[in-house]
Amino acid sequence: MSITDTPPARNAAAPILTGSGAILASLEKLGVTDVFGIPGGAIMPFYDELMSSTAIRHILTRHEQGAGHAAEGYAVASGRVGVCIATSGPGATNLVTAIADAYMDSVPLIAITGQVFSTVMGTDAFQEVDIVGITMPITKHSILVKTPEEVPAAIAEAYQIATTGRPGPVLVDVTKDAQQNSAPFIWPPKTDLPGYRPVTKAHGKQIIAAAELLSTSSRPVLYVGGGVLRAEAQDELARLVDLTGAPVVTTLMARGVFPDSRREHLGMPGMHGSVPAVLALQESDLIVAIGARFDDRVTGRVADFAPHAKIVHIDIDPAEIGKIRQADVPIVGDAKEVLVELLDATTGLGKPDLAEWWTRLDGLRGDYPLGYTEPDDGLLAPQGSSSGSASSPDRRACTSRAWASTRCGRRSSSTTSGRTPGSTRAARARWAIPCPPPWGRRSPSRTAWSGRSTATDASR
Amino acid sequence: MVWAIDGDGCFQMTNQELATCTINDIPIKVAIINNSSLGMVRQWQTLFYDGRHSFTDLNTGHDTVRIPDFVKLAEAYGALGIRVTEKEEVDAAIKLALETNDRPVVIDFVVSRDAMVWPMVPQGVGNSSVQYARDHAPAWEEE
Repeated sequence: MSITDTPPARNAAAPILTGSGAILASLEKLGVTDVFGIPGGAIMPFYDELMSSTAIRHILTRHEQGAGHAAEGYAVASGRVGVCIATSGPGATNLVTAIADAYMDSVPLIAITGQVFSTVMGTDAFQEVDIVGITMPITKHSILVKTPEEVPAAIAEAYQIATTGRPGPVLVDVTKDAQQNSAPFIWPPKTDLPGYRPVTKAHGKQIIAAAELLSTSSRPVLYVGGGVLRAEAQDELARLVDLTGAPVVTTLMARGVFPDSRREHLGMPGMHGSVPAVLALQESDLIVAIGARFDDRVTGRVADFAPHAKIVHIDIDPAEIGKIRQADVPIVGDAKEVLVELLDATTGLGKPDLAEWWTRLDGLRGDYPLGYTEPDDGLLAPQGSSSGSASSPDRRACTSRAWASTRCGRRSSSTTSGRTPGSTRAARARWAIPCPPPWGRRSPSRTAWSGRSTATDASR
Repeated sequence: MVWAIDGDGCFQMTNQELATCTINDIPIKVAIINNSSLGMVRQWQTLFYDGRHSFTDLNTGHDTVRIPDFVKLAEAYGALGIRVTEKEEVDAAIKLALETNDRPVVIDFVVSRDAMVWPMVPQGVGNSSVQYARDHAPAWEEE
């Protein structure tokens, strides 16, 4: 949705709304239909408005962390923005883990928090915390709203920042007086985001350089991260694999974007990755990183990571390029747009001869398949319950995440330490995906495990 | 349909949201891989801290007091609770979960606390040191 293309409406025609009415109207104008949260003193004016909304369904969680993770799961599964709501002070701080997780995992999230009256801010008022300050390093942007006039632009800017470029969380903190006082509701509002211009289209010269490297390499690996999911570039990725025959590894964030059943898929790389995926990267002469960020759980000791590989690094966030590993060919752009251009540039250059490479990789696959030994205490093996007869689904968490990610066909995921609640996110996902999906190993990525791909499918 | 695969540790960090699910007709399935411990930490303690398992026992599994009892907890929240302790019970439990769509389902898979996640690259070393299983490193081609 374009927010800025049309000029602001005339004041004369604008209805007078309270600030809380303006929050609700702004969310409705942006097409938000589902929000998660818990009321409390400083957000009560907004909850009073929310009660009468027929366009927006509110799910009352039992803890704000649940609301935050629920909104994340909703966003990841549906491809839409997730919205969570909390009151000031403890309500707001309870959102922090979910906001941090959304930041790490590039999940489009709008967190709306109530704040104490602007007249008492800074006095250590009842349930006052500086949530804008607290969330500054874990959001793409945090906005403090102290008047009702500022509300529409703040919500519109939050939506625009959260959903464009590299997605992420934005917090909008609205004082209670801003919610209670009234102002003309002007939509679309005039937004002001100086310097915010995400680059989606890549530089043509770099695309050609990447294509040439790819067609002449003898040990390439496509290192696929969550950016491919966010960009919904699964089809373009599959075509690039068809075209080049190059092996693929998918990170935790990208599980499901390329079918595990395809021969070219070596599995997940990193600390608990498959041996073929880990060693393929180590022994490669070219890594094409697509929407991935050379996380320490993937690289291990960076100085020893893939010592002979040239790096093509594709990412929508220029700050990721060269952050961990120097890129020989840096490409800033949207994964889908870049892959479309890379496909064009690669077509006709000739398929690289990877016969020897595949002999090595197939050997690794034969020697080190994913497997496990039965525990000697007579109890179940965890891998047995999560790969059993029926395979499995969505996961999160510590060992359970690691097991699920290595054993299961595909799904979506998250990074913040792993202690994020599967149950809450799964709840959201269920609710955002009305179609009756797949338990068990179905084939291609379009009907895949990842809630995101499934949701994408359903929406098409 | 949505499944959550959780550990007994992380599930307890947000299991109150089962109430949200039941009340709002969100019939998710939760597979708790219950190793009765903070398993990832326990694995590192086993491998790197001489097996000193400092404060990682959660007492939710086999031969413990089972607090909480995940089946009872599920029932308290209006969900279906199923416990699986034998391999032969796995398929039937999953089948029952798949057939139950009028409420959330929680399956308590009681598993060995000593099972570990493999393969693994120990922290702080290069990926060439990947271990396929404990003390079992693959040969790789160093050029």
